Order: sequence, then C-alpha cells, then structure tokens
Amino acid sequence: MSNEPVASPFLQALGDAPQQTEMLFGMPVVIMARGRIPQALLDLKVAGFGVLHDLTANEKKEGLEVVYQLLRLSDGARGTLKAQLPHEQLVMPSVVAIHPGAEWHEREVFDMFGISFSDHPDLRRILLPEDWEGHPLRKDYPVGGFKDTTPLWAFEEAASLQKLPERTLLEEDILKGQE
Amino acid sequence: MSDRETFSGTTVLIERESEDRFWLNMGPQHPSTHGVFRILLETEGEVVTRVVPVIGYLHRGVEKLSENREWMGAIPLTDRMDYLSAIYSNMALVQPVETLMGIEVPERAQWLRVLSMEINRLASHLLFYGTMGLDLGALTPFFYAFRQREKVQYLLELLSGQRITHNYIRYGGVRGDLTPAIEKEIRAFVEGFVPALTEMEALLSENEIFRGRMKGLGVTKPDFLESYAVTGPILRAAGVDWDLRRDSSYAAYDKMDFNVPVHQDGDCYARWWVRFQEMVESTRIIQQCLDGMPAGKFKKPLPFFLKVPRGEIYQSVDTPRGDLGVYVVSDGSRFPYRIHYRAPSFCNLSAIPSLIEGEMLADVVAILGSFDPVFGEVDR
Repeated sequence: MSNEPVASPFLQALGDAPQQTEMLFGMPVVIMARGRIPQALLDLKVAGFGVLHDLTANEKKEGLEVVYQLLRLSDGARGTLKAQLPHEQLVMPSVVAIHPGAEWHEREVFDMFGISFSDHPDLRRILLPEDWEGHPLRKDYPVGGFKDTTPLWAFEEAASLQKLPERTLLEEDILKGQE
Repeated sequence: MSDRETFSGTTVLIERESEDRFWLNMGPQHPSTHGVFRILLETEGEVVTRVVPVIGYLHRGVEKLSENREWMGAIPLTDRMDYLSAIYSNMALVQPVETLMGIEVPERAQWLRVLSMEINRLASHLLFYGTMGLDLGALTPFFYAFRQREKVQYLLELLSGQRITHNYIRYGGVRGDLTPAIEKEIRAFVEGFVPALTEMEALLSENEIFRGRMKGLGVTKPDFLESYAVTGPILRAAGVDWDLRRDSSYAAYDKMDFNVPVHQDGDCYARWWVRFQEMVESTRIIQQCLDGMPAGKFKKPLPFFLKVPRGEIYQSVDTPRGDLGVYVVSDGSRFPYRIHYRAPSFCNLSAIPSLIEGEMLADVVAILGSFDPVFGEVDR
C-alpha cells in the first residue's frame, strides 16, 4: 500500500503524457483531460487492458468526474482513469467505438447524472422512464424526488429522509488527503 | 437520420422499413425472462433481426438510497440487488469499506464468509439448473433442483436467520457464529447432496433433446465477451480462465483447494456445464471450510455508527454471475458519499442484443436463460 508511483503496466501503457497520477491501495489512478480519454483507452486496449470493467460518475464541488475502471484478464492488472467535467459543460466523448460494453454504462451515467456523451449511438435514459425529470444521483436531487413530479405519498413518506444528511460536496483534492 | 417509433413508452430507432418485418414484444411479465425484463424483437419470419432490450422495471435507486443512510444501512440494500446470491453482494460492499478503514477481520470470520458464500452459490446455481430446464420445456429438473435448494435455504436460514435477504456479512465479520448444531446440519446436507449432484447431472447432460438444443447455440468468442466486459461463468465457458476467487483471493479463498471449471465451446451447453461443475467445486470448498474452520471470534466489535476515512476505492468479488465491483467514495462522515455497484448481470445482459440477432425466435429464451441474469441487480 505505498503511495509512490511504481512502474505499473497500466502507467507504462499510458506513456509519459502530462497527467496527474496517484496510487490508491496499490491501484493506479490517472486523472486526465476529457478529450484524451478515448486515445488513452485505445492505447490501453493495445497493451491488453481490454475490459472496461466499470464506468461511472461522481459529483464533486467543481464539477462531475467520470471514472473508468480497466482490467487486464491475462494477469489481473487494474487501473482507473478519471476525467473531470465542469458543471457548465457536461459533455464527454463516447468510448462505445472502443468498448461496445460502454454503451449501457454511458446511458446509465446520462440517466443518473445528466452527462451527455458525444457520438453515442443511442443516448436515451436506461433505468428510468423516458419522460423522467432530473438526474437522481446528483446531490441536489432529493431522495423522495421532486414534489411536483412524484406521487404525493412517495414524497410524504420520504419527507423525514429529505432532511438528512446535511453534507458538503467533496473537494477535488480528495485523493491528496488519503493514506 | 433514421426514424423513431414508440412502442408503449419505448422509443426505437427504425433503421429499415420492410413489410416482412414484424415487431414482437416480449415481457416485462414473461415467465422466461427470469424477472421483469422486456425485449422488443424485430422478426423476419422465425429469425430475429433486431433486439431492443428495455430494463429498469425493478429500479429502486439503491445507489441513491445508500447515500442517505448510515454505512451499516447500506448492507441490507445490497441483499435486494442480486436476491439469489445476496451474501455475495454483502461481501462486495463490506470488503472495500474494510479496506478503507484498515480493519483486520478475524480469521474465523473470513472462513465463515467463504462457507456462507459457497452455500449461497449452490442456491443460485440450483435455481439456474431448474429454470434452464424449464426454459427448454423440461419440467422434471426443476423439481430435482428445488428439492435440494430447499435444504440449502434452510442452512442459510440457520446461519443468517433469513431465507432470501440474508444480510449475513457485516463490517468486521459475520452476523452469527457456526454452532456445532449448524455444522452437523451442513455436514448431513453435503453427504446427501454429492450423490444428488451425480443424479442431476445425468438427468440433463445425457438428455438427447437437451444436448441437441443447447450445443452450438449462442456461441460466444472470448474477444466478444471481453469487449462487453462479460465475466463469471459465461466468460469461463468461452475458455477464459478468470476467477477472482483464485486470482485475487479475498476472504479465505487462498486457503481453499478448488478447481475453476473452464469449457472451450462458449455455447449454451458450456455455460450450463460450467455452472454445474461450480456446484461440485462449491461442495468441496464447503467441506474444507467445515474441516478446517479455525477457532476464534466471528466478528470484530465495531461501533454501529461507523466513520469511514476519506478516500475512494474500487474492488470486486466473484459472484455466481460474474465480477460484482463496488466503487466506494467516502467523505469521512457517517454516510457514504457515493456507492456504485458494477452489477455483473447488467454487463452480461448488454451483450445479449448482438448475440440474439440472427438467431431463431425459440432460441432467444434458451440464450437468455443460459446467461442467468437477475433483474434486481440489473436495475438496482
């Protein structure tokens, strides 16, 4: 569990382009500009990281971040890619052309966070109905939904929940304070 | 740009118009979809030419709810995702949180986790065994499987107190200890289960109709599965030797001696075979757990209101359906900041449309059944 960037196959595959790198619990985490994500995934795929294990998003104070988890089946090597998007420009290049399995994941992120993916073949909501309003996993979305879009009983039953917890959005430098 | 058409609330891109084409709606309430799954099938005669899956009928917002509960309150929600192998979902959440907190789990607890997970794997694969036969029209295997599954459920009830939503694995250990009485019950079950497995295997593997239907159907190549991030028995049935139990050896799996069944064909029969052999291996692991169970505490005492240090982590465990990954972000408060579940069924199911296209309508059910999706987990 060292925090020193050691020579991991994941980092080697990415080359030495300028980027922010951390080691978290033995797993390399790389933060890069959103435009460079598709090329990075392509490089990683050539190096054997052929499984896009997970794709999700997370809301931080200065914007949203999209998180890619990659896996190499031959030896189990792993790594995380991250791209940060400011609140006013929630667009991400789609990686469906590189990893077809990203299609549903990107639809889910669009559904839950409202991040749109350019060049996605069929960007629709996936888990919620097509006419749903809002993006539930954003921190400003109440647990019981908005009063004018959900049945009244659902809102009232969740009313006590609506109040907790009081929390602030995470700062960008969460990675820094971590063991 | 292509035209869009709406079928009861679902918009579909229409690529080509033709008089021979017919849209067929399957589900969401269909006995062979193993839950509430809806697929729109564009057919040309008997052949399926396009597939539009519609999911989300079981969406309960598990991730959103988890963010608004104590860390402890997030565990029961995981039971309700993959309700056929709930203990695995508990483990998937508990493991990264323990890593974040740096908790040393007692040795006996780790062994109890392996024991309960493998018993749970039997319950999950036995249901698959029964429903796979049902999907092809064979009713008898279902009764053979459920006679055993009832006993498995009873063992899990003894261990955890619940039949379905076990909520057994907790932060720092497990809920309850393995008493000599429960151990006796498990030993008695395993003794009767081994000959029952031989009988059950012969019932389907030597069945000419079953083999004829399953062999060569829905063939998957490793490259295809990798690109869709399909894991678990489906990947192993296509010749990829990947099992997190052995390759990342969480809990006490590094102390167990077991084989990972791998089949080279990648068809429906291979997927059935791999799951069946996993039951045989699970029985072996259960026996090893009972024989080598170390003495000690089954839980490390922890406060109910946990405070998890700031940080984020992604870890995964091998469930009967594939790799269940959990992405945990903590801001140091009493509540999780974000928990994301990478549900194996969700990823496995995303490969279904390209696999079904070009197959016969009657085989759709067989291919879907051989993927063994659980919709509580797909929709979360």
